[in-house]
Amino acid sequence: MNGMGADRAGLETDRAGTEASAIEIRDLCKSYPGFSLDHLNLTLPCGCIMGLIGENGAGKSTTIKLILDMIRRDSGTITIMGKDNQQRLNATKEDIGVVLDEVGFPECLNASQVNRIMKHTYRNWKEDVFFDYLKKLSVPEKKPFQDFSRGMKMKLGIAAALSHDAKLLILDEATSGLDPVVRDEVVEMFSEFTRDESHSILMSSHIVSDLEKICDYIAFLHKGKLLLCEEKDILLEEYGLIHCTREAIDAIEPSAIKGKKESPYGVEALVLREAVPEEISISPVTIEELFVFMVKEA
Amino acid sequence: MKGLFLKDCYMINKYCRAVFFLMLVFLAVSAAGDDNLFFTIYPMMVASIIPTTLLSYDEKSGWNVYSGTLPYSRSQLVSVKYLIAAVLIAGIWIIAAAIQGIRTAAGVGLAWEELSWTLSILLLLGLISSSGILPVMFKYGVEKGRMAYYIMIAVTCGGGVAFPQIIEKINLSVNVQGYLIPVLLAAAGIVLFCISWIVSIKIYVKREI
Repeated sequence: MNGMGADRAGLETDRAGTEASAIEIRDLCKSYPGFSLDHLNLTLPCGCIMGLIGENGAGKSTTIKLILDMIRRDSGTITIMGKDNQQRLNATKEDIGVVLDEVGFPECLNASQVNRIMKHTYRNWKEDVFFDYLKKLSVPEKKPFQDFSRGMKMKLGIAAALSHDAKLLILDEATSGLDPVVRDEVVEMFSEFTRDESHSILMSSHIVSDLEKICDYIAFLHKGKLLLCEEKDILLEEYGLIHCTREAIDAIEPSAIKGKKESPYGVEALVLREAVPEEISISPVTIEELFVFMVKEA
Repeated sequence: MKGLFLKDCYMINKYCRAVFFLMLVFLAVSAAGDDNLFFTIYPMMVASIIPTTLLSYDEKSGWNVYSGTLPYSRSQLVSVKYLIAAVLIAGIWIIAAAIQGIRTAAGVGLAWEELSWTLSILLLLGLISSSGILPVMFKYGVEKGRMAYYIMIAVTCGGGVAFPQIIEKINLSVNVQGYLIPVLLAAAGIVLFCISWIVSIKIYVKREI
């Protein structure tokens, strides 16, 4: 299964690599004691949203930090909007909006002060857009950041990331800490952002349902390795879940079974739809189920 | 870099107000004083470590990581702290020089030659303190760099006390009459500060954030 996923990722990468790419990662390696990101290949085409899914320590944040050159890669290349990320990255960062897991504004600042700082930071800072977002997301202008809830902090971070005409958004767990209603609103804002075909988003999240809602591409990372990178619709189309007996599963071609869970009530298996006999009923799979099955099988 | 400077100014305004008040009180006492240099040196020492306090708050809030995503180079992220240090040290030095200068002119303070020594040592202490602490902070972070902070305070305070005695022992009293050595001391402090600045940039460019 993993081999096939990697092949697909490679094919997709080659296909998308010839088009304009927001991010293109080739053979990226980074090692720490106890962890290594292993020859990561990933392409985020312009105008698309890619969801980076992985368990804690899978390498999502490491990948994001490598993209932004906050940590040094051991080998490989990264290009952002066609430019190597180690050359004139400051100019490139003008076009990137970032929200990290920990938003990072000093505790004593309020939103108005953040606006004044950002006005002197980004060439294209749009004050009116920033205050519109604050209003839309109900973020108070004068309240110090230290008195914000985690969700409120995230909202301020998101407003700042969306207010300087960025072409690429990089979001590391940006929807965590938000209540479901605001999360839905924020996800809608991200979706609106990519209506412009030159805009793209790379987002990592533990809340796979958010990613499933808006992502065009899904990439699974597991222990520093890319398990799979594919268009979401193709994944949902190609894979399915079956519930059957042990005897019935033995009758299916082993290569079609991508993961299985056995219980006293029978077997639940992730399968490739096209390789399963027609008489077996296949139910749709969610991205979360797909990820869990694949990680357990890996 | 204006945005970074503005952010640090907001932080100083919020976190260092009490410290500024204390510094002004000390300088005011030094104006009325009995040639006790402690009230002049203390504000300088405090001013020189304010950038370290800012780094500490940056680390606590996660700004040190977030700033890496903004369109600033690593050298700008380092330079703003040195700029803050330079502004504060210069500010305290100018106030101290004005106060002591007025006292000397009024005939109640140090002699002009002594004053030049005092002011050059004052500047040197402030610059040495910042120059020693900041590269360690940029290399190891605030938590691990704290030891350097304590060592630097001890060295500069001890140095401040010991320096006149050393000068006396090595029999440089003849030159105390002139202005050359004070000027050279001040220049050495500025050179040291610039070297520290370059070293910090080199360190921070390599550091993973």
